[in-house]
Amino acid sequence: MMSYELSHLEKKTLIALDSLEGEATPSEITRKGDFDEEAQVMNSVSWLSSKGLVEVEEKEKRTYSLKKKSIGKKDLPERIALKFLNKKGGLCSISELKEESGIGKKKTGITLGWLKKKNWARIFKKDGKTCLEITRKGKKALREKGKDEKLIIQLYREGKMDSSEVDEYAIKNLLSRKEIVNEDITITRKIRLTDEGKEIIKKGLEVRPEISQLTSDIIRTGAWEEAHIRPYDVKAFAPTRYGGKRHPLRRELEVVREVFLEMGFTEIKYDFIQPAFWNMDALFIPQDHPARELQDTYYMKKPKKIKVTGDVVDKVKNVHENGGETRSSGWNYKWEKDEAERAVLRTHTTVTTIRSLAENNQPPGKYFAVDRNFRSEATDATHLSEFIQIEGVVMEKSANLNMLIGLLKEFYDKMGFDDVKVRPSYFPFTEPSLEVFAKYGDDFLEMGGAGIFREEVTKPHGIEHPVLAWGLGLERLVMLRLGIDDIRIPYKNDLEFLREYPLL
Amino acid sequence: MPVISVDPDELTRLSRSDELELIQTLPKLGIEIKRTEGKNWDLEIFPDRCDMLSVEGIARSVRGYLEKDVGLPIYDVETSDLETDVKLSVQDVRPYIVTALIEDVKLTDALLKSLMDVQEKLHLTLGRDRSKVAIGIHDFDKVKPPFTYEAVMPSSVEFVPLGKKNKMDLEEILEKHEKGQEFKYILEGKERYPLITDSKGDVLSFPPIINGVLTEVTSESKTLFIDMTGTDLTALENSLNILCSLFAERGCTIKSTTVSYGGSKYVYPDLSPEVISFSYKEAEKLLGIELGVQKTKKALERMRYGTDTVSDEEIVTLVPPYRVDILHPWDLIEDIAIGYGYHLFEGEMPKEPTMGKPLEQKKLEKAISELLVGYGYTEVMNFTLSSPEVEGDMMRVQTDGLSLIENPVTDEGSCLRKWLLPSLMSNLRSNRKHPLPQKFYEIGDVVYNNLQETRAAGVHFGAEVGFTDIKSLIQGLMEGLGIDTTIEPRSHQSFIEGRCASIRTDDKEIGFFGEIHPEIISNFGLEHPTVGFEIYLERL
Repeated sequence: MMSYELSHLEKKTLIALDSLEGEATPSEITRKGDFDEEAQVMNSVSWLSSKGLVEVEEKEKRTYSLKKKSIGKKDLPERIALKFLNKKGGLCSISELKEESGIGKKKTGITLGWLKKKNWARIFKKDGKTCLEITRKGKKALREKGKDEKLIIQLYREGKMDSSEVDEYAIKNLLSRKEIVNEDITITRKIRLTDEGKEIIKKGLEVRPEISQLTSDIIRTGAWEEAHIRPYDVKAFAPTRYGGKRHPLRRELEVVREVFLEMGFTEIKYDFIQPAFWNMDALFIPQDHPARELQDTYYMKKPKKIKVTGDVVDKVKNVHENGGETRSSGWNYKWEKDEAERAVLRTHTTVTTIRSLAENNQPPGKYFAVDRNFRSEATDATHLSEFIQIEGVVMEKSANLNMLIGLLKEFYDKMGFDDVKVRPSYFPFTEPSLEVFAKYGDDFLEMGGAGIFREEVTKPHGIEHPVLAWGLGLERLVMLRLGIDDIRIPYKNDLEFLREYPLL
Repeated sequence: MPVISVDPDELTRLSRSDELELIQTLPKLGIEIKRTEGKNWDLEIFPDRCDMLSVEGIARSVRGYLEKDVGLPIYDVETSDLETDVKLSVQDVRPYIVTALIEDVKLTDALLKSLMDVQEKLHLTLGRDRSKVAIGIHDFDKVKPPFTYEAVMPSSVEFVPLGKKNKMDLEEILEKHEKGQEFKYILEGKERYPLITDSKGDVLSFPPIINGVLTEVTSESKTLFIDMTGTDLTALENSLNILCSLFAERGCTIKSTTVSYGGSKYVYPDLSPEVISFSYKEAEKLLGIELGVQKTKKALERMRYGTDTVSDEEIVTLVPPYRVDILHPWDLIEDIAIGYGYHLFEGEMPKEPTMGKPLEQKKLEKAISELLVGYGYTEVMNFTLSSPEVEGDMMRVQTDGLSLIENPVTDEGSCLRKWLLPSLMSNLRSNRKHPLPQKFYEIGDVVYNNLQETRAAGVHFGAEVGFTDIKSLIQGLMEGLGIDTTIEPRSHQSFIEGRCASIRTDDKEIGFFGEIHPEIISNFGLEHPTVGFEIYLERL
């Protein structure tokens, strides 16, 4: 025996049906079961029948009535014509019929049709006139009305008649005349308990009131204890709802910050607008280096210059011109303070790290920054004019290249890249320099640069120990994580994108 | 970074290696193989390694790394009596010249291509687009030494420049010749122009613009004269060394020449090695690996340095004349690491413990974010680069206090933003097609009166949004942050008069909020009420 989950209404329907001897119409069930409306019964019946507990027998019922009561008191037009014809001695012309019989011009055509159909008159041409002559059947009809006429009289008397009470031929005939009778079709249903239904009832049904929307009232009064909470169709449609969310760049940025903090790094921050001195000169980038040209660096119109002062200015000047206190040969040119004081939008976060090292030149020191940088280049799918760079530095007595590689492996592992390769590279301010490749999917992707700050960079600031440094772009990480191929997308801040990007 | 294209057949032949060896070795030398397509490999070279801007130079490095040829390449220089006399007139125009004579030249197509490429790349890199160094290569047999380098009046000399059929004077060349138009900026403001002529007065070159057609190099040329003129003697000597060592690699004979500055004579090229000595222990310390003398020397030899030892520790390194990038012993130590193999470093962790410390302000930023996300606000991140139009005009406020860029790439990025609300209004505009209501916030840096500070701002946009929405939010936000604030009326051009308020603690304003002025809403192409706030984080 199957078990059924029956709703409150279904149970009520079964019980009402049982008390009606297992067979009843919906309206009987509605009355018996004290339903609010018949629709409730019909709904439960359709569920019950799909479960095989009831059968539904549908019957069609046709009833007929006259369209107008007056029709019952009048003769049909063909009878009027027949009587006229008889009065004329059984013969007349069509025009006489039209003008004198009283059936009216409009109905003449139809009347002729019925006369011919009922075979009451013969139509023929004589002396150029169309004439009618009564037939034998017509003469007979003068004495006895046809079945259709009798039905009209009956309908006149009865008002309404069931299809079982009327002559089939006659009603068909009348229905074909459109203007005479109405036909009403009603479907009556008989609901009957199946054996299975009877079985269920026999086992007993527990009927409790049912709850659709739970209300505070129901909870407060405890009504729910006696009631059944109606189960819903959990697969029915519901709109997706979106809440607030953090930006994907921010989320990645927070991941990076946590990794650095865990590894013992101190977070640092400096301004976007810097004198060229800190952005380039302090990093041993010669004043005629191509990176300092207008197509790579944004120079400021306001503020135009930022003063640089102190011993460090001369030390940097000497390093550029002849190597200064280092063993370097320097760049062999005349260094201009004026050029170093031009205000620029910083082009890399290395400004931030070198400034913090200059202020804290005693080891150990671990610093990091995740911040914005600017390059005066056009924006496209792979380049931004403003971007976020991640940079970390380590200054300690025993810092060396092997330690830098160890740090990189640890850092990238924490970022979720457990297979990292390094390769020689070049940056003006590091020596040795290297490039980091991390495995993502099946490929090794270029994921940043690293190196040891040149002595020409560190010495002017009194930094006596090697400084390990590495950096990478934040946007690229986000592109990888989200599988997007256009670096501009995160900055478009499209609501749909921001709502739908997955957090995991 | 410079990219050069080389013929792989030529590279395999010169490096005596097969293609597989090349593909494995080039990246270890820091050369990225950008593209391999038939008889063209595009190789990216580090900008400091100008000696590898030719197939000959790359082959030389590869042979070393694969130990087919190790140690210092020896380039003999024979003497010649060729002299170039430098007149005082060039001093304020283009003061320096270096020269060389190359004999026994067999100008194959491959060598010719290599010469053109390396000349072009040297012009760009060391030459800073010909301003510091301009190179001329001549068929020596067409002219008669000695040569003169002087500065002359532009219309005083006529000659047929390369690429033209008729004689032109120097001014005409600058105006009409393609190279003249391209490089005339270098001579801007000069009264006289530099010129190299032979003993008969025939023109070899009008540097840094163009050579004469007279000394045009052809496949028949047997002896070549090289001139390099410019403003930076070191850069000239370096470029000359790189070019001469390229010819030497091709088996040509290099001959020295004399440059005479009013009696002071200098001989070029000097292909003798530079000497740098350092302790192998310094290399061990900087690299963090054990090398000993032998391994250190071996790594250096693979990188084509000559080595010698004068004590237990000290290694005397002979730097080949073309390695113009070596400024400091650490440059050699990097090459030791490359010669040893970057892939062999196993990595170690820092030894001195430190504690991680976030920026103080991040705590506040995080708390604000947490609260705003709770209120259903979506975070946006916008560019700092903005325009005076968006920052001021569209927001009905002045454009004072903006930091302006001298060389913007676009008008939309011609200044730094001085507040956040304009960016958020732009976000509402670009999200017009999405369902309402919308709530955005941003935490970011702005620069006002050249002072950088961090702010937080938010907007709430929708058909039924009003002042109460933003006031309720600010109250909840401040309570959530645990900050006692009062709300006072305030006037602000971006807000409806009487619907803007100041958020204050004690005696200072820490932010403001209100109902955005309808004119601004229209300016951003929007049609619904908008409320917003902006808070100065550094005042909290």
